[in-house]
Amino acid sequence: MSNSNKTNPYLKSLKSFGRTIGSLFTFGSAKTSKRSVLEEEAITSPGKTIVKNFFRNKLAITGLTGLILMTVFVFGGSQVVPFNLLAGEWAHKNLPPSNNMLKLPNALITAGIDDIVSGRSFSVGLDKSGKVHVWGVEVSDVFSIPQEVQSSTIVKIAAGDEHVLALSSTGKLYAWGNNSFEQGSVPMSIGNILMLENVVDIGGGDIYSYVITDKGRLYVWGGTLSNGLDIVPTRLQGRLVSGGASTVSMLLLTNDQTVEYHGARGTQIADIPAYLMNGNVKVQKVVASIYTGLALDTNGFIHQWGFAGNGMRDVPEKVSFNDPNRIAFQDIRAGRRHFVALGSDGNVYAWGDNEFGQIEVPAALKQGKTVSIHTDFYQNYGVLEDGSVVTWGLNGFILGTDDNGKDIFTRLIHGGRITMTVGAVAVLISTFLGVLIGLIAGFYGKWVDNLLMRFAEIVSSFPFLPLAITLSAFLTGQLDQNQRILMIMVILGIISWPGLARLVRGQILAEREKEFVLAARALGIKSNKVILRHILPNVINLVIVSMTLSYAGSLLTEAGLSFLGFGVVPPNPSWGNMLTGAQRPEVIQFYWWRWILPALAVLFTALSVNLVGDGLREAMDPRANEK
Amino acid sequence: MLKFLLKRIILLIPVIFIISVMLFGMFKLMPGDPVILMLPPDLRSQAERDFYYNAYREKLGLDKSIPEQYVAWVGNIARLDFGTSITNNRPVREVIARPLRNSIVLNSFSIVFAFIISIPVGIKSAVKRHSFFDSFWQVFSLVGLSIPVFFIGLILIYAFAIQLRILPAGGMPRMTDDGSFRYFLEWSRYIVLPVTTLTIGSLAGTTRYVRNAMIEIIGKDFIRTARSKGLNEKVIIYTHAFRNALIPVVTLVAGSLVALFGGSAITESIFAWNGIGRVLIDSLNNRDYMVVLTMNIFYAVLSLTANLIMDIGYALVDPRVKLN
Repeated sequence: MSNSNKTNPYLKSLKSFGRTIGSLFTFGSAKTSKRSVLEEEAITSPGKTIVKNFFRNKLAITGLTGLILMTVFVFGGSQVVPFNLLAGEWAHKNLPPSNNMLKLPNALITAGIDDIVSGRSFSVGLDKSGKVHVWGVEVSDVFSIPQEVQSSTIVKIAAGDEHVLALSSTGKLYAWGNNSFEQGSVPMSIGNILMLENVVDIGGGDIYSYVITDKGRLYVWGGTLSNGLDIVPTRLQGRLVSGGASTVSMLLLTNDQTVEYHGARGTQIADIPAYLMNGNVKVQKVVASIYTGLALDTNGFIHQWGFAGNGMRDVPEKVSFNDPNRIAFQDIRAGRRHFVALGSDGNVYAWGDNEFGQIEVPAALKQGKTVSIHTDFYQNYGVLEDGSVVTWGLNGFILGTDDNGKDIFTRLIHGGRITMTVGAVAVLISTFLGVLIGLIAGFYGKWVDNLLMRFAEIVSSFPFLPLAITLSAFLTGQLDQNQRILMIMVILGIISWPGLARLVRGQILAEREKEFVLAARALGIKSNKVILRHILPNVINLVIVSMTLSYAGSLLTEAGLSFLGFGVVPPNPSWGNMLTGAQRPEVIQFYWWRWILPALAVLFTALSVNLVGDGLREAMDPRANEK
Repeated sequence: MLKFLLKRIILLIPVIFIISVMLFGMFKLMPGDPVILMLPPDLRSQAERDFYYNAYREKLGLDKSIPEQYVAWVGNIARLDFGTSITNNRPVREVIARPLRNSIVLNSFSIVFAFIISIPVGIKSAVKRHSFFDSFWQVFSLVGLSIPVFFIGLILIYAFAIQLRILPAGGMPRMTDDGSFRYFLEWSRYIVLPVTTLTIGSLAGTTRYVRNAMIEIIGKDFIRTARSKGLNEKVIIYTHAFRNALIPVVTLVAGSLVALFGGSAITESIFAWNGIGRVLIDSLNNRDYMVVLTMNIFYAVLSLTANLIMDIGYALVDPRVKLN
C-alpha cells in the first residue's frame, strides 16, 4: 500500500511530463478538430504554435529536408549497400568517379572483336582488321595510342596494370602507358633480341612485360627487382611456348605441354600438381589469377591449384575435374580474383571472388551461343554468335576510390552512419548529463550548486579539442575498433555537458522564483515533483534547441577528431578519417573526389542540422514573432 | 573588489588541486615504462642493464610512492620545471616555448581579424534586420558554423597554393629567423592561409553572437526612450546600444584568450604550422606524456584565469554587476 503510494506520484509526474513533450509535436488532435474556426483562432496550444511557426520558416524546412535526405542516404544506404571492412583492391587505388569501364566503342563491335585485354581501370580491344581501341578510365596516358600502332596492323595485344603491349603483323613490338619501370616501352636490349627472334606470345603483369619468342625463350622487363622475373632459369629457356602473368609471378607452358612456374617464391600458386609438370596430363593453356593457377588440358578439362580463399576454388558443377558430369572447355581466362571458362556447350562459367559481381555471368551467355570470352582484372566481356557483346563485372566506381582502392561511395555511406551515430549518441549523453546537473544545481542551490558548478568549471576549463584528443589517446589505447567508437561517443559526451548545464541552471534559477513554483510548494508538493512536473517543462524548449545545435557541433568535432587520427580509425570509415590522407598537395590537386565529397557530406549535414536548430529556436522564441 | 578577487583565487586552489590530481592519476595509469625507452642501446649484460635501469628510475623519481611522486611533481611545476621530453631529451619548457609562440602569433592575428570584421558586421546586421546585408551574413555565418575547419583549409590550399600558386601550401619559412625584414616578408607568406582559415572559422560564431547581443539590446525600453527623445540614430546605436552589447562580447573575448594559447590542432596540422596543437598531437603519438601533462595543466590554469578575468571584465563594463 505504502509502496504504491510512493511510486505513483513519480509515475504521474513522468506521464504528465510525457504529455507536455507530446503536446509540443501534436498538430490538430481529434479534440481540436471538432472546434469551430473562431475557437481555434482563440486558443492555440504552445506546441501547435511552435510547429506552425517552424513549418512557416522556409530555411527550417530546407534544413529538415536536407537532414531527412542525408539520414535516408546514410542509414537507408547502409542497409542496401553491404560493407566489408577489409574490402579494397590496391590495383584500384585513386580512381576517379566513373561508370564506363565496360563501355566498348561501337567501332570495335562493328569491326568484329579479335581480343580484349584490361588494365586496372581500362580495357584495350583489338578488332578483326587489326585496329586497337581503348576505353574505360585513363591512367598513365594509356589512351595515347602511338601513331605507329594506329597505322600498322596489330595481331596481338596485352595489358598490365597501367601499360599496354601490341605486336604488329610485321613482328614489331610496341608498348605505351606507365613507364616507371620501363614496362611501358621496349628497351634496347629487348629490341635487339627481337631483331633475331620472332615473338610468339606477349603479356603484361602488374608492372612488368614479357615476350616469348619462336626459339622458346622468355624475356621479362619492367619492375622485376622484387620478384626476379627477368632472370629466367636455363632449364626453362628454349622450351617455352606461352605464358600467363600474375602479379609477381608467371605460369609458363612448355613445348611438351607441361606447366612451369617462374617468379617470386613462397606463393601458393607455385604448388603446381605433379601430373601437370611431368607430362602425364598434356596442357594447352594456362592462366593465373593472383595466387591461383588454372590449366586447360588437351582434352578440354580444367585443373586448378593454389590459394583457396575468396571462393577461388569453389569450382562450379560440370567444371571441376573431379565431377563425373564434367564437360570439355574451349577457353579459360583469369581475372584478378576469379576465373571464367567457356564450355564446349557454348555456355560461360565463372567462379571465385564476387566483390564487383565479376562471377555473375549474364543469362545471355548461358544460352549456348557464346563464341569467345575476354576477362582481365574485374572486367569481363563475352562475344555471342551474332557479334554482339555482353559485359559483366566492374563497371566503375561512381564516386571514385581512395588510396587503398576502397570505394568512396560505400565509405561515404558507412562513414556517415558512424559519424552521425557517434554525434547523436554523444549529444544524448551530454544532454542527459547537462540537464540532470543543471536541474540539481539550479533547484537545490547553495553548496550543491557551488560544487556542481565548480565541477562544470573544471570540465569546461580545458580547451575542447586538445582535451578530446588527449582523452582519446589516453583512453582508447587497448580497445578494439567497436569499443573505440563507443569510447569516442562517451568522451565527446562527458566533456560537452557544462554549457547546457549552465543554461539549464540559469533558467531554473529564474523559474524557481516564479509564483507558480511558490504555489506548488505552498500546496505541499514534494520538490522532486515540482522539478519534474512544474519546472522541467519550462526548460524543455531550451534543451531541444540546444540538443539540435550541439548535434551539428558534435558532427564537426567527430569529423575533426577522426581527421587528426584520434577518433574513428581505419579500416572503419568516418567522414573525418576519409580526409586524413587528403592533406598532401598532390591529393588535393589530382584526387579531388577523395576530399571534396566527405567534406561536403559533413558540411551538408551540419548545415541542415543548424538550419533545423535555428528554425526551432525562432519558432519557440516568442520574441522572434514580434517583428 | 579586492575581497571578491581574494575569494575567487582561494576558490581556485581546490579546483586546480583536483585537476592536477586527475591529470597526474591519468598519466600514471598509462601503460608503458618510460625508463625502458631511455636506456642506452648498447648494454652488454643484465647486471649493467639493471644498473642503468635503477639509475634512471631514481633520476626520474619513479622509485618513490605515487603520492610522493605527485608532491615532487607539483613542487617542480611550482619552480617552473616541467620535466623532460622523452622524444628529444630536452626540457619540456624548451620543447613547448617556440611552438607556443607560433600559435599565439597565429591565433592573435585571426582573433583580431575576426573581431575587426564581426563587430561592425554584427551591429549593422542587427540594426538593419532582414535587409539583404543581414540575410547575406546570416547565411554566411550559418555556413561558417557548419563547415569543417579542414575543408576551409583544403579549399584555400587548392585555390591559392595549387591553382594560383601565389602562396605556399604550408610549413614554415626555410630561412633562419634573423629578425630581418626579408624574413618577416617570407614568414608572412606562410601565415596568410592559416590565419584566413582560422578567421573564417571563428567569424561565423562571433558575428552571430554580436548580432544577437545587439538585437537583444535594441529591443530594450531605454532604446525606445532614447529614440523618443529624438536622439540621433548613430548616437543611439553606438553609445546607448553598443556599450550595453559589449557585456556579452566580453565573454567572447575572454573565451578567445584560451583559444589564443590552445592552438588549433586541425589548422596547424593541415598547414604544417609548427604550433602548440601539433606539439600535442606529436607528443601523444610519440607517447611523450610529460609534454602532454604539462600542456594540460597549463591549459587548465590558463582558462581558470581567463574565467576570473571575465568576471572582473563584467564588473568593469557593467556597473550593475556586483562582485560578491
